[in-house]
Parts: sequence; C-alpha cells; structure tokens
Amino acid sequence: MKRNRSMVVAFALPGTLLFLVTMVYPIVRTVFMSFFSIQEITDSVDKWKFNGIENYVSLMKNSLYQASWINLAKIFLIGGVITLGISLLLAVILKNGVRGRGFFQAAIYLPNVISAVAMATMWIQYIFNPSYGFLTKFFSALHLDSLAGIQWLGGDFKFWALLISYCFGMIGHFMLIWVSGIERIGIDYYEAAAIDGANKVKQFLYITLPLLKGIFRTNIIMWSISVSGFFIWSKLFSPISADTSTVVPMVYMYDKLFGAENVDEIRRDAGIAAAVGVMLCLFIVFIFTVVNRLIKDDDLEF
Amino acid sequence: MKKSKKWTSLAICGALVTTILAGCGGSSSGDQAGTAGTTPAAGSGETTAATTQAAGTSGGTGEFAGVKLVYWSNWESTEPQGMVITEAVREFEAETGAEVDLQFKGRKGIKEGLIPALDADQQVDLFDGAGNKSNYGDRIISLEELMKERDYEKDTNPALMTLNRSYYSDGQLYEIPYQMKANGYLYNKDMFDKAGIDKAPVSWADFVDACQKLKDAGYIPLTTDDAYAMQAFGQHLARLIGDEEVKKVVNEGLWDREEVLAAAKSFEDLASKGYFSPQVGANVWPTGQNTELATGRVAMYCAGTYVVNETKTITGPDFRWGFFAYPEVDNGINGQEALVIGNQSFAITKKCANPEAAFALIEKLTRGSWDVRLAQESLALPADMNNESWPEQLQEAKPYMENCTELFATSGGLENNPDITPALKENLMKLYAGTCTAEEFVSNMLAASKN
Repeated sequence: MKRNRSMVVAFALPGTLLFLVTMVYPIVRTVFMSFFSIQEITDSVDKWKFNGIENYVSLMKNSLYQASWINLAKIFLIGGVITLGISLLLAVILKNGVRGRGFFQAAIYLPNVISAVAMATMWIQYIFNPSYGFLTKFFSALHLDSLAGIQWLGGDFKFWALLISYCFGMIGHFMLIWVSGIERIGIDYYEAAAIDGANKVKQFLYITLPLLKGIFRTNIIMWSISVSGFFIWSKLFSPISADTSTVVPMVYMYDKLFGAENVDEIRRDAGIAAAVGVMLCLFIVFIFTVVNRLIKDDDLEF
Repeated sequence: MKKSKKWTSLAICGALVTTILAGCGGSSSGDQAGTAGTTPAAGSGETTAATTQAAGTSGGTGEFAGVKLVYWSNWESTEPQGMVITEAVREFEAETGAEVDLQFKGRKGIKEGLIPALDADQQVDLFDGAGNKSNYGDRIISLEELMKERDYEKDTNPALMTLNRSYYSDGQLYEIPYQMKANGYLYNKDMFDKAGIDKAPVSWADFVDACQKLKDAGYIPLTTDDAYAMQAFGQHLARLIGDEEVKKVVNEGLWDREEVLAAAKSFEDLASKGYFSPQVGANVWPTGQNTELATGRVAMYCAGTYVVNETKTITGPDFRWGFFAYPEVDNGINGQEALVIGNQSFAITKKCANPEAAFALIEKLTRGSWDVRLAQESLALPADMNNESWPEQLQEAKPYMENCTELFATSGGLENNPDITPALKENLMKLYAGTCTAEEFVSNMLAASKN
C-alpha cells in the first residue's frame, strides 16, 4: 500500500494535538509554576513571584511534609505487600477451580466498585467504632477484652486502620489482573508438572510465579500510581484538618493549594503545590525505572 | 464485512459520536461535579449581565427589569439555607423583574472552582461562602458605597462589621456577613437540670464544679472530636495570653511558655478526674458530636453554634440546648466578653454589571422576613440585629454575642499554623484521653515544632 504522507499527518494530528494540550502543557506549566510563589492557581503570570528552588528546599525541611512521604512509603511498601500478596493468593485459589468462582470474583471485586466515601464511612462510623462497632462487639463476644478495648481510630492505630480499609478495597482490582495473567499460562504446563509429581505449591513457585513476571511489573506500577494519588481515604479519616498519622503528599498539596481550614489568614500557594506535584511525578518515574531494570520478562516465551 | 457486523459497528460509531457531542454540549461551569439543582439553564458563561430578554416572570416593570444576575451559592439545594434562598430569590425575581441564575455549587465548588471560573471570564455576579474573602483580591468590589446608599450598616452587629473589615488591608468592607456563629460550650440542659446546675459556668472553678456534679449524677461531662480538639485548649490559652500571643506560640514554637504548661495542666486535671468520655481519644468527627452529644450521652461539647443545626435530625425537636462562652480562667487577661465569632458572607464580583441589583438581593436575604426564615430553618443566628426571633435553641448565645467586645481568632488562634496543627491535634487528643501528662504534651510539641 502506498504511504500517503498527508493522510498519515491528518489522522495523527488531532490525537497528537489533544495529547499536547491536555497532557504535555499542564506538566510543563506545573514544573514551571513550581519555581514561583503564586497565590491563586489561575493568577496571571505577572502576579507570580520568582522563588528559584526555594519551594523545594522549604518543602523538604518541613516536618509535616516529611511525615506525609513517610506515610506514603509505608502505604506503598507494607500496603503493597499486603494487597498484592493477598490478591495473588486469592487469584491462585480461584483459578484452581473452587466452586462458585464467578460469585467469589464478583464479591471480592465489589469493594472496588463502591465509592470510597461510602466505604470509609462504613469503616470509621461502624466497624472501628469503640462503643457499638463491629470489631468491638466481635472481640467482646469472644471474650478477648483487651482486643475489644483497642481504640482503632486513636493516634497509635489510626494509620493501620486506614491501611487495612484501603487494602480491603483495592484487593479485588489487583486480583482480577492476576487472574487474567494466570489465564494466559497454558494448562499443559500444569498437567506436565502434575504428572512429574509436583504438588500445588511447587507448581505455584516454579510455573505460576515466573510466568507472571510481566503482570507483576504492571501491578507494581499501577499500585504506585494509585498510591501516589492517595487522597480521599486520608481526607475521610482526617476530615477538616490533617493528622500526622494519615497525611500524604496529596493532602498536603490540597491544603497548600486551597488553604487549610480554620486558619484566619488565607494562605494559598499554588507554587508549592506544584512543587509537591512534581515530586509525586518523579516518585512514579523512579519506581517505573527501578521496576523496569529489576524485572525483565522478555527472556521467557510461553 | 458481513451485513450484521456492518450495521452493529455503524450503530456503535453513532452512539460514540452522540455521547461525545453530548459531553461537549451541556457543560455548565469549569469546576468538577457541581451539585444538581440549578434554576434556569446554566448556560456557558455569557459575558453581558444585562440581556434584553422579554420580561422573565413579572411583566417587566420591576425596579431591575431586564437585569440578569448569576448567583453562585456554597449551599446545597437541599440544605435548609439552600431551600430558603431558592424561595427568596423567586420572590425577588417577581418583585423586581430581575432574572437570577441561582447555582448551588457546594463548599468545594466555591472554594476550589470560583476563582478559576472568574479568571476564565465566566460570568458570576455575586456569591456566598465562608467569611474572609481577602484572597479574591481585586475580583470583588468594595461595598462601602452601596451600604451608604441603602443605609445598611446600622442593623448589623458592629463587632461583625469590624471583623469583616479587618480582613482587608485597606480596611474597607468587601463582604456582607450573615449566618453568624459563636464558639463556646454547647450543653444538654436536661442533664444540667438533673445534676442540679442552675447557672451556666462563668469561672473555671464553676466549670470544674459543674463537671463534678454531672459525674456524680452519672453523666459523662465532656467529649470532643479530633476536628474540634483545638477549640477548648485554644480558647483556654487565649484567656491566659490573648489570641495574638497564641498565634505566636504556634507559629514560633513557643511551647515552653509557662501559660502553655498551665493550660495543659488544667486539661490534665480534667482528664485525670475522669470528666472526658472514655472514647474521646479516638473520636473522628462526627463521631463524638453525633453519637455522644446528640444522642444525649455526654453533657458538654466545645464547638460552634452550627452544631445545633448539624445534629437536628439526630436530636429531634425536643432536645434542650444551652450555650455558654468559654469560662474565665485564673490569671486570665480576658473574660467572657472575648468570644470567637464567625460568619458566612456575600460578595459581589467585579464582573457584575449591576451591583445595585446584586446588593438589593443580598439585602433581601439578610434583613426582615427572609433573615428570620433563614435563621429559623437553619437554626442559625439572624443577621439583622432588629430580629428578635433567635431560634429557641440558641437563645442562650444572645447575651454573650451582644456583650462581646473582643473577637478571638478561630480556636483562640491555636489553628493559625497548619503545619503544626496535625501534631497539635494528636497531642491534644492524648491529653484529653489522659494518655499523656501536661509535661509530656509540652515536650512533644517542642519536639514537633523543631524545624
């Protein structure tokens, strides 16, 4: 077929323009804004005050901001292990042929569909409630009074309460991705291994895991993207104003961008918020690079 | 391609194109999910305020016939304020012949979306929302002239006028206050009666005595939520050193001041006597407010008078509310005449081509019968000083507001530094729950503010 250059350009142009305007321009502008002090996000450029790297420096010195990144790292690492681990386990169990597989898949995925606001309200106002909540009643019924007395939303436990609720909601999503990855593995390998005497665990370790490397990489990257955008859950567990145990960079950014509540002088700075955004972006780029270096799945063909 | 496949793919393409066009079409404003409930079609930003539409609803002879106003409200259309404003606006349209495009944007829609909308040249003429609109800069107009023309100022509480002028460097008024609230202790009058407390506490000794009486009668005296943890401590500290000094403490990390320790010790004392609810350390708002105060399990709660409206569906109409301003403390430099008062406010944008019409609407909502309706339906304080009809539940706040001569900053200034507020909240909750001592509180705060 003859390559008609003008046709190629005509078809590629709308998509490219849309991409440049909606993706590239905001990123470039945000990076640019992060070097200024800007009160309102839509202020004209003549109202911007040049700051150099002062935004970045002051952010990195700020202990609340540091706390937000520590929380993010904990959510990423510990939450990642819990979520990806449990979802993988569930995927493997489901693929091994339990009865009612369709039902279980739907049930496990259901929390992912329900709005985070509804879920968080359920967790905070019902499950974790110290007087009449589910956990309190459950432990009391088992006469485990010390466990029943735990204040799940008090300072020490609040982070873990948040993490558990978040992971509960995310497991279904990753489970489905694992399931689709496992389905790609031919059943012949398992049959051959079974004939050779390998039990389920050995099959999992030597067939399933290695052949899921590509999916594993995908899941880590998707997990890091959803974690860096962690906002709603943190806001719901700490409404009105942030808590040291639940603050994450995006919450910090929101408070800087639109002003924190109950502060009498209005202090908004879109430049600092832009700097936070740039750092979050770099975080994802970093994870992406590391994951791509460490996990190579192009040496396997099946 | 087989025939059926061809038609199916054609149908899907058609559906795709239609949805894209529909999506491009009715976008009403630049912000995210504004709430439902817009009155006449929210068009996409006309740039002339006065249109020559044929006489809207009234036959075109009213004072502002032919004027179009776009009014963004931070209420939801289903909130009591939203419902009352909708009716008031309709009456305004009928009386004056103006056409008002009333859009309910919700808190976030105003806080996050209004300035970008104004900067994108969208037509918004007036709006309401939280007090202190100083960040709007030159996007809103000074209302001094309009107020003089209509002799408006005399009917508003002067303390509020001072407060609203104080937000602006030129000392002029850019916003009209309404929906006032005061902060202090809200309490359950039935419990107070049963415990034998006949007078609201004035001094700290009265307050501790009241707590003891309540405890003896078998009630839980105090609770709070994390969101309001700063209120009691902040006002206590402000009684000792004034709110400007409190702001210095949080901004400069001066937690080693003796007054801070003194205040912390007062609360340590309350906690050790068992006056706080056992679950106070874990109350995520609105747990304490809704499950403890409104259900009649706890007697006192330190927050603002808006709590009465927020909990009315839980308390029911028979709940007897009381209010007293934060008690005076020993060695304090001010008393109950220093109060935290705040308000919502209206403002008119620079884009408004007919500010007189906008001001007339604001006047309608904040004076006379609509002010009364607004106050009654939303259990709030009337904006018009002449309105004697304060909601019964808030009657006790009246004397404190009328005698107020000094305005405290929010929470006595304790929330002035958002970077330290999270650590402060955490340590205050521990103090109230009795899991840390006053000295530990001070050293924790010193450590947290080292940076």
